[in-house]
Amino acid sequence: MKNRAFEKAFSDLKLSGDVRERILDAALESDDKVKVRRSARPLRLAAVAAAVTAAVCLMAGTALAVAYVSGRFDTVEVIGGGEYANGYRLSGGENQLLPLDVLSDGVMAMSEERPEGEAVREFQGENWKAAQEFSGVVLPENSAIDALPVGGSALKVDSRGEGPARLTFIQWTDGLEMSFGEYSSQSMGAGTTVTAELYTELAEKVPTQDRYYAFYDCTVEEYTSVNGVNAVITRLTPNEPEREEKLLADINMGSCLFHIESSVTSSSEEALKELYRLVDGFAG
Amino acid sequence: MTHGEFARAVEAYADMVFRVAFSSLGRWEDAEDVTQEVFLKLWRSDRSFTSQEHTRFWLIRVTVNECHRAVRWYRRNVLVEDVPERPDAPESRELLDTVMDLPEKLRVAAYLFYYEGYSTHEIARLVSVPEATVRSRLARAREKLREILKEEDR
Repeated sequence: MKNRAFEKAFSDLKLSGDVRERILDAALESDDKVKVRRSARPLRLAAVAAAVTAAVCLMAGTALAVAYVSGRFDTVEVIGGGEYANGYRLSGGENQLLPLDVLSDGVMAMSEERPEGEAVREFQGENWKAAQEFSGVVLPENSAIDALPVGGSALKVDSRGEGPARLTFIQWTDGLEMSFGEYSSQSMGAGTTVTAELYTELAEKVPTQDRYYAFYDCTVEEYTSVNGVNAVITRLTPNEPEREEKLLADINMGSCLFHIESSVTSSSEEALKELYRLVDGFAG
Repeated sequence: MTHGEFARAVEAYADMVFRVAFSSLGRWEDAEDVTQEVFLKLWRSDRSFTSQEHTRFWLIRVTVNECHRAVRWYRRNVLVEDVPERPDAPESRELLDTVMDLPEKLRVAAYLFYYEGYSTHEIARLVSVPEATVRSRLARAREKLREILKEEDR
């Protein structure tokens, strides 16, 4: 809701070009210094890549079969600890890059036909099964996630560089409002959002996952599902009364990084049980 | 955050951060200083955001905090009357002057509500006060601004 009078008055207020330059220069000059993290706190969780638990899903209908093998992240650490945001970092593990041959002509066309300056294109289907059919990629089987009510879904194709380097499948339950930015998505309100991220051979490697959450304190623990799938469970405790607690699960499926985010609207224990149920849904 | 991503964030949000700072502090140079500080925090934070709205929300939140810090510093160290206003402030001064004459808390709430389009619930989260307080501040700001807004909307 913009008020015209306000718009007129405040739109004239602009930062001068000189100050913009100073801001950018300051960032460049301080580049070396700022790479030192202020309060990284390594956890004892999983310092070593675990033995791989198995399982391969050979997918019918794909141009090339994609093997998903559940594993662990090499390192998990809580990061931030600053005044404004906390979060966690996941890195390493048995990550594979997706061969481009797997991707459908539709994905390649989206990547090639993107308007200038628009690195991320989006496909929206009824659910992420439709997105999988469109893309040529079949995600790891999870009966519990498949059974969730679908509020909406999207597939983002990130083609920063020479072609599709990252595919992000997103599906959320009813009752969520979603806004899509250039890089990712945001959920608001109660519900569960599941994200599956895959990197292709055009990405040099699967990058370290830094997840920051402004206004939350963060603790992490490990969980191993009934099928031997390992998950990093993160509890986000709000430092403002207006925000709801969140529970997250990150699962490394080799070629595919799963991220499940649930808002806690009633009991934390019930929400945690529900999150475990979703992780247990992976075939392993 | 790569330098390219940082540059895009500066391009997209620098004016917004500056306006939030200006609506809080009412002084051009101080708003510029706070803007630089906020973006330096963004760069140093090495963070990732889940969306553009997340980035925007975080930047406003940090700006509000930095403005509070600046106000506290001013109260201890400087007489506000000693700080000159920038002479080439915007052309549409009438409403802006009226807004800037409001008490700080009222003008920040009014700015976030009328210009940035945030709801009272969101503003409450941004400035860390109960939503009822935001509504009350907006009502008081609205009362003071009513006449001039009516004229502008005609």
